Amino acid sequence: MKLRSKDLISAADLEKREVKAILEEAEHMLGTVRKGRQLKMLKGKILATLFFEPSTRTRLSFESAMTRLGGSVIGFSGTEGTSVRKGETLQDTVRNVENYADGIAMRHPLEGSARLAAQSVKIPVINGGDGANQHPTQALLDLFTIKQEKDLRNTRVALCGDLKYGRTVHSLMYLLPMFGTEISIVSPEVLGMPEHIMDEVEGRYGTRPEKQASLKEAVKWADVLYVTRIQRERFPDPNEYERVAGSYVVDSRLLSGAKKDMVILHPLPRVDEIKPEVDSTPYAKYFDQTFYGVVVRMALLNMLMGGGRHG
Amino acid sequence: MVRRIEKGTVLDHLPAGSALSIMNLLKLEDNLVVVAVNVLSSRYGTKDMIKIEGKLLSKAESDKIGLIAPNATINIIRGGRVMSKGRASPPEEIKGILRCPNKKCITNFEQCETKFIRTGDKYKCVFCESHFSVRDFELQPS
Ligand SMILES: [Zn+2]
Repeated sequence: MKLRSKDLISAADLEKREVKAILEEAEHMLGTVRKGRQLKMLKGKILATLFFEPSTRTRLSFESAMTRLGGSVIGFSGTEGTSVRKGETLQDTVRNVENYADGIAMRHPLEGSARLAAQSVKIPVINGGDGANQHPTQALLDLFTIKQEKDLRNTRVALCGDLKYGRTVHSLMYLLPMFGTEISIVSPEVLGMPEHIMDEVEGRYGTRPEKQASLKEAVKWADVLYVTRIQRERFPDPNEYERVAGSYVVDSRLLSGAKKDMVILHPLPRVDEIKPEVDSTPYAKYFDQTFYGVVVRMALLNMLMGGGRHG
Repeated sequence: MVRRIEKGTVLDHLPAGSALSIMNLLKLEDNLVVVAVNVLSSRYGTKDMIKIEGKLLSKAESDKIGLIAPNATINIIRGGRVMSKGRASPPEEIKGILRCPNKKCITNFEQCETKFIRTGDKYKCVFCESHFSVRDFELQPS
C-alpha cells in the first residue's frame, strides 16, 4: 500500500489505516530480516540522509534499512564543510539533492524544516526529527515495539519524564489512541504535556489522558512504562532540576511495585533516568527498540520509495 | 457618518479602541477615512467605526479584520448603496500575512509563505505545528 502523502513528516498526518499498513509491512520485513534474506526492492535507488544536526543512531538505522532493501545511501552528518555553512538555504539544498537521490531522510534543528523541504521537492521526504516538533519514525518504531510485546487494545501506556520537549511522546499521543491504547502521563510540572496536544487528542478520540500523581503511581498502573530523558538545561531554575530529577529515576526499588509483565521503553540515549541494574531485568525492552527501528524504517522506505510491494 | 459615499467600505461594530490598529493594518494612507471612536452601541456598549472612501476590501484584508475584530460588520458600498453586508469572521486559513511567533520555526529563517490553520480559538502553524492565540501574533501592515 502507498501512503496518501508522498512524504512522512508528522504522526498527526497519518490515518489509522496507514499506520496499520506500516505496522503490517514492518512485520513482514521483520520476518525476512530474521531469515537473513537479502531484499532487492530498492535496488538501484539512492537515499540521501541529510543530517543538519548529527544523530548517529537514527542515521545508521536509516542507512541500515536502505542497504537491507538493496538500495544505496549518500549524505552528510553535521554541516561542517557543506554548502549549508556557506549560507545555502534548506530549500536550495534539497532541490540540489533531488538530482542525486530518489528520497531524503533528514534531521534539522529548526521546527517545520521537514515540511518545508517536502514542499520544495518531488521526491519523498522522511522526517528524522525537526527541532522539538516531530520524530514520526521513532514513534512508529515505539508503537511497533509495544505491539510486539502487548496487544495494543486495552494496554495501558504511561508516558513519563520530559513531555514538553520530547517529540516522540507528542507523536505517540496521536498514534496510541488509534488502537484503543490507554495513555496516562506523569512529569515534572514545568515539563508537562502541552495543553494544545491534550486538547487535540481529546477532540479526536474523545478521551483526555489522565495525569498520574507520581512515577510510583504510574508504575503500578502501567503495562508499558515509556521513559524519556529529563535534561538539566530545560529547567529555568537549576535548583528545581536538582529537586525534581531524582524522583524520575527508574531503579529496582521502584519496579517492586510493577506488574510482572510490565515493559520499559526509552527512545535512547538514556543517561541516568534508568539505572543500569534494570537492564538485566525482563522489564527492559529498550535495546530491542533499536532493532525494530530498522525494520520499521525498511517498511517506510519501501512504501514511500518503492511500490510498497514485497519483493 | 458624515456624508454618503459612492464607493467604499464601512466597518462597523469594531471593539472600542481598535480603530487605530485596524487603520495601520490596512495601510489607509491614500484614502479618505472617517473614524468614529467610542460610539454608543446597543449591542456592545461602545464601539468604533471606520468609513473608507474609494476602497473595497480584499479577502486578505477582511481576514485580518476578522482576526482582531471577529464581530465587525463589513459594508461594501457601490453606486451609493450598500451592496453587501458581511460579518467579519475568524478566517479558517491565513496565508502569508502573519509571521510565526515560534522563534525556532523554519519560516522565520527561509523565504517562504507562512500558513496557519484555525483549530478552535487557536491557529496552528502548518510548519512547526505550534498553536497560537490571536494575541500571540504581531500583525503586519499589508
Ligand atoms: Zn511555525
